[in-house]
Amino acid sequence: MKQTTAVSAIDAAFRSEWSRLVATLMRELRDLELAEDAAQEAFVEASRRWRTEGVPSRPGAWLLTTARRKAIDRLRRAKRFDERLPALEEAAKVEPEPRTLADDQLALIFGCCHPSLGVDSQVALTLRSVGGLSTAQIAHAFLVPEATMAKRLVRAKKKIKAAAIPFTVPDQQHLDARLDAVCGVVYAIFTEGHASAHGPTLLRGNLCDEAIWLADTISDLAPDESEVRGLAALCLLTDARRAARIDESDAPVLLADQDRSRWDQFKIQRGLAHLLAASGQTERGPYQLQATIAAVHSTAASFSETDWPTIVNTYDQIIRSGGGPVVELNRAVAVAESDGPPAGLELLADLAARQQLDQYHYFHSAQAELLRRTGDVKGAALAYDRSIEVCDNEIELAWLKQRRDELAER
Amino acid sequence: MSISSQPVRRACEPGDQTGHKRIDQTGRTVISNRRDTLMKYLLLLYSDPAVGPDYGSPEQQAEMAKWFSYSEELAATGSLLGGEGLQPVETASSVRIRDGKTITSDGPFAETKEVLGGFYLIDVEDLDQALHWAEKIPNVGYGTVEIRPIMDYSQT
Repeated sequence: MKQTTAVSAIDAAFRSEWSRLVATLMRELRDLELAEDAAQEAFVEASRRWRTEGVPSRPGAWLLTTARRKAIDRLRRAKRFDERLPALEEAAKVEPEPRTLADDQLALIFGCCHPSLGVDSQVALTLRSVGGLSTAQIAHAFLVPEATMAKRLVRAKKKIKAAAIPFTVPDQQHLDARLDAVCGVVYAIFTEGHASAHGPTLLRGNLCDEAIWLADTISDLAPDESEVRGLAALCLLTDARRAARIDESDAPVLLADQDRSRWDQFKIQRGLAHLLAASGQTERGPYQLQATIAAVHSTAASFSETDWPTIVNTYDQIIRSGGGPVVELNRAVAVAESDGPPAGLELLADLAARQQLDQYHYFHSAQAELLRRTGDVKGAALAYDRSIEVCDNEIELAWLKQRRDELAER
Repeated sequence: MSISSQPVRRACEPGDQTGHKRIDQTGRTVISNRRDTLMKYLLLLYSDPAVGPDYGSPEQQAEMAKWFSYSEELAATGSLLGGEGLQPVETASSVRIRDGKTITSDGPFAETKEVLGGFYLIDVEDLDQALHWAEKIPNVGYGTVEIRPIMDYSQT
């Protein structure tokens, strides 16, 4: 009995305490590698001792003291006087006070997402140091050999040390840009998870769940940042459709054909709550706008009852703030739903004239779908052919071929 | 957009032995990751000689005034260890020794559009401060500043 309680307590502590522990140790030690190693060792000791001695009343405090001692051991083994030792030895003697760690945790996140690091490194560091994933798990999730991921992490940590990349909350002047970088990392993690439907099992499920956890965590730490809430909402509302967006044979299911009863209502409610909390603040940024569109879909009773004018209007706002041709494509599809396929096709023709999306298979499949609906079977088949030509995802390729062949059967 | 009007800096509470709190030159409160020894960075100033104000033009005079005030501001903080502007790249020579033979040639080591035009050696707390000074360099609007941490042989 004690054993099972201990195991679940360690699991729970790992999920809730890892990033706090690393964040505090990072402030004290100013060395990410050492902070992670000490945190890791503290958890190893917890899994050994909590089984026999029971779970301490304050697991977080126990872990911090243990990790500090582990860090002291490591520093002493270096056999060279270390300026960090006296303060650390003092700190390890007393039971840590419960305190707000928001600043330390934000500093850890901003440090991992520092723009002086490459985006791949930012993603890997964030999943490792903030998310608590192992190098093997991160490598597995991104389909790269473990040695490659290990090298990437080592190189990033070396640069942090050598270039003295600070783990601090940036000043006001740089805050917006740095927060954008953090949101970009979280969204990159989300889209990677979203693209691979059957990703490996990680700490919180898959990469989408990790991204949602990160976005939720950052929202808690910086509740007034509307774009962080927008990001959390976008991830939740998109992920709510996870179960419905592929069928038994892994083929994608169009939004129009999805079984809406399979949408995760709990995630939708959480997403809407974030969006509500973000609303009324300044101008809406790109994540909030994307989330607004996702929210319209999530709350529509059926595809045909969707509030298309609001969606078109929101796409207009995204385009005004600098959306690219893909946004224009999405807007054209929404216009087709709102004003009929010919209106949508007209906009697609504009886009085609600019030749920006010729290599993008969704452009041609969207055009094919609209042409089919106007009764232009021949035109639709040609558009599907072009889509098949430029598509490099096997599952989608099979689906496109099936759509094209269905056309001929009619 | 801001992370609460009162930044969440509660790292230094009474009795906390491990945090260091002070205001740095850029007016930022530094708590974590403070180094007791400063970091040296070389700011390498690259630009395309064909871009930027013409020599002797009023624009160039205005830029020169900016260079002087930039250097003065940097020196006043005590962070400036050195800095020079370089003669045009046409005056460069390169030398290398291969198989025991000295080969001297005309021109820079690498032929690129943006060439090294000057440098500053600074001594600051961390990379964000180095970035702060790099962003203020007068020709960063049309050139590029590369920031290189100086090797610390006592740490290796």
